[in-house]
Amino acid sequence: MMNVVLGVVGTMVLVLLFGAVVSIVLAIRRRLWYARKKVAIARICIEELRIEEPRRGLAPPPRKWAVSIDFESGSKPLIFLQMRGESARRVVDLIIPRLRRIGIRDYSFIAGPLAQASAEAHFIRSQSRVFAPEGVVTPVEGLHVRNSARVIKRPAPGRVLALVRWFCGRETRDLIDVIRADLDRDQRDMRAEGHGPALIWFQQTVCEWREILGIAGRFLLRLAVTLNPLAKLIDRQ
Amino acid sequence: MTWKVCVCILSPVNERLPSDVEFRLLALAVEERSGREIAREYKREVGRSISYGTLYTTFRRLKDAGWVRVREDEDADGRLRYFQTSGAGLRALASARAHHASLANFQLGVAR
Repeated sequence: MMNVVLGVVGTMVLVLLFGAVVSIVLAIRRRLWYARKKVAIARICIEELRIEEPRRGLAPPPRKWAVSIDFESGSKPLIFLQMRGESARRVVDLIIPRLRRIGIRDYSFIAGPLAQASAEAHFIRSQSRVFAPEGVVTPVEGLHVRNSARVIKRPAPGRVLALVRWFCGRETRDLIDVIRADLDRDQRDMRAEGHGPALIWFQQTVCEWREILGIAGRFLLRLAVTLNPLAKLIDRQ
Repeated sequence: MTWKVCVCILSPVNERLPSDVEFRLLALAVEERSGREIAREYKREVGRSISYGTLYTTFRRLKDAGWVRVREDEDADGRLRYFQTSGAGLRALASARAHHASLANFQLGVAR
């Protein structure tokens, strides 16, 4: 009996230690990644993607914006925004939190036709900005980025789910992909509804952990069914 | 009345009836909808939310039973799954409704 207890406790300690080591390695890797990117941002481009979709009722046709960030190292994260009849100003207001999530805190790159007079700005929200007329396709050439990247301490929602995905089989991986996409859509909708970043982060984290616990629960149930077929009786919802 | 009880108890159950959650999801997926839309409708109709994991796992079970058709799609945010109740699903829905109605009638009969 004592051996069993010691075995269970020892396994738990090992799992915790493994988790701690993995999280430390990931944090160091992220920090190194941002440190590399600090001097390597080459160009940021904001453009409107023309999509033809039918109008629904009185709603204006949706407009999709793409923000591409080119790094000198060649990696190219893309941000897509789909909005209904919004002005370029609103697009910039939505892009900034996304850039902050990536780790860019200095917005001096937003210049040119879309947002002028902000090349020297550190805090774009307090600056007076002049925007291009609504509907203008505006490729924005980045000037330069000073102190471009800082590590965000609060991890973005979806990371833990991505980590869990790594341990799962193909079917559960597919499930997690779909769930993550849906959580992203929820997050985007909440942002469009004007909720604050803290609330969005909290809601997303709660949803994410709910999904993780659900996946773990289903795994345990499958395990129980494998070990004891009578457990199948509780598998029905 | 007694013979009705006997028929209810002794009648052989040849086909599986959908469970409560399955029944609601089948009813919500009569028109083709994405999983996210169904989750929203579920919350609106039932009053409590359903996690995406539960929803997609239940739909996978329904698909295995042949009650639901699944279509995969993709947009800028990632993958999307659309669900629609199939003919067999509609029949299962109808038989579950009939079963619930017979239960309700049975309870009313007992109350009288």
